[in-house]
Amino acid sequence: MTGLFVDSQISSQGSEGDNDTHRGTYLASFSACTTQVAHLADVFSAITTLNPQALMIIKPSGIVVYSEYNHVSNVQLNVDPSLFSLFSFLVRDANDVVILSQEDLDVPTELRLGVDVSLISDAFASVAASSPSTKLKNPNNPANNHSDPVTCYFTYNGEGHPLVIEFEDNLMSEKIEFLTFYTDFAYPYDSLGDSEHEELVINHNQIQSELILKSDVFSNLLADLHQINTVELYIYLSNEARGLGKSKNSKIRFTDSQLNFISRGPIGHLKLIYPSERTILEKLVLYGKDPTKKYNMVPVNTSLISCYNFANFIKIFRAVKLSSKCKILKDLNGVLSIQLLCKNNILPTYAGTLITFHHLEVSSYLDEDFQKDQVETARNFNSIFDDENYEYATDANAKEIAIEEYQELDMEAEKTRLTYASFMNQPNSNSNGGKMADNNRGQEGLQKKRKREDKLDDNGKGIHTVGGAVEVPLFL
Amino acid sequence: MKLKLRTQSTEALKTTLSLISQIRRFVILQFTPSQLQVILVNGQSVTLEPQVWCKLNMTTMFDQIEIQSLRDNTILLEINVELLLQTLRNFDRANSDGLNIRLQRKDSAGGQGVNTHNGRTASLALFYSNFNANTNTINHTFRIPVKILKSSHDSAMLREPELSEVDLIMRLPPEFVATYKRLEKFKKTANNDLVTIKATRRSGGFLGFVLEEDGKYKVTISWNQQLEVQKPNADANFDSDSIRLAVLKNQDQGPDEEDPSEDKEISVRLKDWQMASKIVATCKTVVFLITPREVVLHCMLEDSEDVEIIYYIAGIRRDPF
Repeated sequence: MTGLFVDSQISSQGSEGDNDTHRGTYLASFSACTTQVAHLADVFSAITTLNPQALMIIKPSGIVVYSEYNHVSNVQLNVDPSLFSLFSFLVRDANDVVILSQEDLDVPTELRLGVDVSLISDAFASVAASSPSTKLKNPNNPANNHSDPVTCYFTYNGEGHPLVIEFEDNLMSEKIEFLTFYTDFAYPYDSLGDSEHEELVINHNQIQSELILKSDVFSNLLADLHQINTVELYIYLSNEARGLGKSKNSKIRFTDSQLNFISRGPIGHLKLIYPSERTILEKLVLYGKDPTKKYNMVPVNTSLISCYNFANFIKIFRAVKLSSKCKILKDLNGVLSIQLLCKNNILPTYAGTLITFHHLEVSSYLDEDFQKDQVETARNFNSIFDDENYEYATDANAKEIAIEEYQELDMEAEKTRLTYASFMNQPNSNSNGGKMADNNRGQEGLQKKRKREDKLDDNGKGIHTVGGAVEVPLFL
Repeated sequence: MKLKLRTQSTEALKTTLSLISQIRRFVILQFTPSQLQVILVNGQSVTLEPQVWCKLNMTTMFDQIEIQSLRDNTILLEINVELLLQTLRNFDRANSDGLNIRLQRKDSAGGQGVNTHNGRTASLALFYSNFNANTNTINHTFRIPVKILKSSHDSAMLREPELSEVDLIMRLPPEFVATYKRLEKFKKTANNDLVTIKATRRSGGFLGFVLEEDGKYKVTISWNQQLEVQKPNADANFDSDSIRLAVLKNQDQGPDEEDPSEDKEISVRLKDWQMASKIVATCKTVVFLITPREVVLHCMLEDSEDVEIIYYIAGIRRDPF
C-alpha cells in the first residue's frame, strides 16, 4: 500500500504536505499508556474485517483508525483518550521546547500513519489471551491470581519512525515495532462539504432514516442471515399510520413501526422481523423533504426499502457483537452509516469506543423520482423483485381487500385466510372484483381463481414450483 | 530376544508420549533393564531437526521386568507413537488392575507379506482385562506393529548429542510458558521463521527473543523476572546429574559486567522452538542451556528424577547478508 500510485486525492493532500516541510521546525510525538488490553484487542479485531491496512490518526482528542474496502465500505474506529491512563500529544519546536498554544497555524495538530492493523490486532489478541490463562493454570497459587495486569505503552515519534507498542507485566516485556507507511486512503472527513468529492460519509443534512437498535438482537439476526447464505440484504423500514380495527375509516390510528430484514439467497427469500418493542427498537424515524421549504427534511410517516451486498455488509458482525447500542442512519445518496458504541465492562466510567461503518446501497431508486413524488415504496419494491413472484402489499390493504371480497360475496364465503392467491390477485383487483361478484359461490370462485393461475403458469408468469414445493410467498 | 513387562500405572509413560506425539509420527523405544528411552530423531538429517530424548526409570514404572537380548539386554523398536498412546489411554479408561506388554513375533503363516515390506516384522502386544457390570471378565489385546532395529547402522544413528561446551545455563520458571503463547502469533509468517534467542549473565541476567520481518515489524520479548543465568565450569560434563546440581547449587563466580562476550545469542527455527511449548508447560523442572551450536531444554516431568525429557534444537547460522 505504499503510495506508488498517487491519486488526485493524495496530491491535494500533497500540497498540505508541502506545508508540512514548511513547518519542519515542529515535531509532534505521541505516547500513551493503558491497561485495557482486552478492550483494544476486541475493537481492533472488529475493524480488520474490512482491510488489514489502515490509516491511523493520532490527535489530542483521541486515536482514529480509518480503513476502507473497494470504495463501497469504510470503517472508522474512535478511541477516546479516557481509555488511557496517560495520553500525551506533544509538539516541540526546533529547540526541543514544548509548544502548548495552538495559535500558530503551522503547529501540527495530528499525526497520520499507515499501519497494518491486523498485525496490531493479533498482537493485542495474543496478549489478551495469554494473561488470563496463566491465572487459570494455577488457581491455587495466590501470587498468580493477583498478578499485575498487562500494561500497554504506545509510542510514536512522527514520520519515519515505527509505531512502538510495548506490553509489560511482572513476567515479561514484549516490544513490537510496527513499521509505518504511506497509505493511499483518502480520509473522507478531510473533504467533507466539498461538493466535488462525493465521499462515502453520511450527509447529515439529508438523513432519510434513523434507527437505534439493541445490538444483541441485531447480532443474532445477522448471524441467522449469515447462516442461510444470504446474498442480498434488503432493509425495510416503515412507520406508517394504520387504522385500528376492521373498518378502514376507523378513527383510532397508530404508528406501526416496522423494521424487517429480507434475505435473498440460494434458498429463496426470508423475512426476519426485528422486534418493534420500544426497548429493542428504540427509535425509528423516517424523513422526507418538506414540500414547502427547500432542502429541509421533516419526519414523515412512510416506508422505505434499501438493498445491500451481504458479503460486504456482514463485515460489521464482529463490531455489532461487541457493541451495546447501534445507530443506523441512511441518507439520500444511498450511504448507510452504522454507528456502534462499544462499552468497556472493566472500566465503567469509560464513555465507550465508537466504531462507524459506512456502506453504499447496491442501487437507489429514489434519486430522480424523489423530486416528483415522495417515496414510492410499492413501485420500487416491485421493480426490485424482477421475477414478478413477489409484490408489495401491506397487511392493511390486504385486509381491506379481503373485507371487500366478503362484502361483495354477501359474507357467503368462508373466511379465507390471507393466501398466496389473494396476494397474486391484488394488482388485478379491478377485474378481480367483477369476477368474484359473478361467482356467487365462494367455492366456485376459488376454483376459477386456481384455473386462472394455472393459465398464468402456462404463460410462464405464474407460480414457479421447484421440486413440487411452492416458493414461500413474501408478505410485507 | 524377550520383552515381558507388567505395570499398574501407565501415567508417566502416557504423559511423556502425549507431550511428544505432535512432533513426529514414529518414535524409537529403547528398552534396557534399568531404563526406557523414547527417542525422536529424523533418520535422514539428524543434525538439523530437533531431537527429543526421554528417559524413564524402568523400575519405578514397571513391577515385572524381563528383558533379554544378545546385545547387552537392549531392545530397540520403532513404533507409531499415536497407536501406542491410544492403547495406553484405553487401558487408563478400562479400570483394570494391570497392563502386560510383550514383544511378539508376527505370525508368519497369518499375515504373510502384509507388513514385511516396511520391516514391521514384529508387534508389541498390550493386553489387560477388566470386569464389566455383570462381573464378567473382558480381555483386551492390542497388537501394534513394530520394527526391530538390529543393524549397527541403526544404533549408530542413535547417538545422543554430546554437550561438549555449554555457554549458559538457567532454570526457567513455570510461568515461562506464557512466552510461547506470545510467540505463537508470529508463526503465521512463513518466509521469516527464525527467532534469535539472546541471553546474558550481565546486569542481573537476561533472556529474550528477537523476531523480525522485513518491512513489517520487529519484536523483542524479554523475561522480566529474576533469572539465575549461570556459566558452568569448563571441565564439567553434562549429564543430567551435573546439570541438576549446577542449577540447584549456584557456584557461579559472577559475570564480568564489562565483557561483551558474556552476551550469547543463537538463532533457531521458530517452529522448532514452539514445538516444545507443551513440554515446558507440563514439566515441573525446566533447565535451559545455550551451547555454541544448539539450545537444549532439559526437563523433569515430576519432582522426582524418574522421567527426564531432553529437547535439542540445532542452531541455524544467520547469513550476515
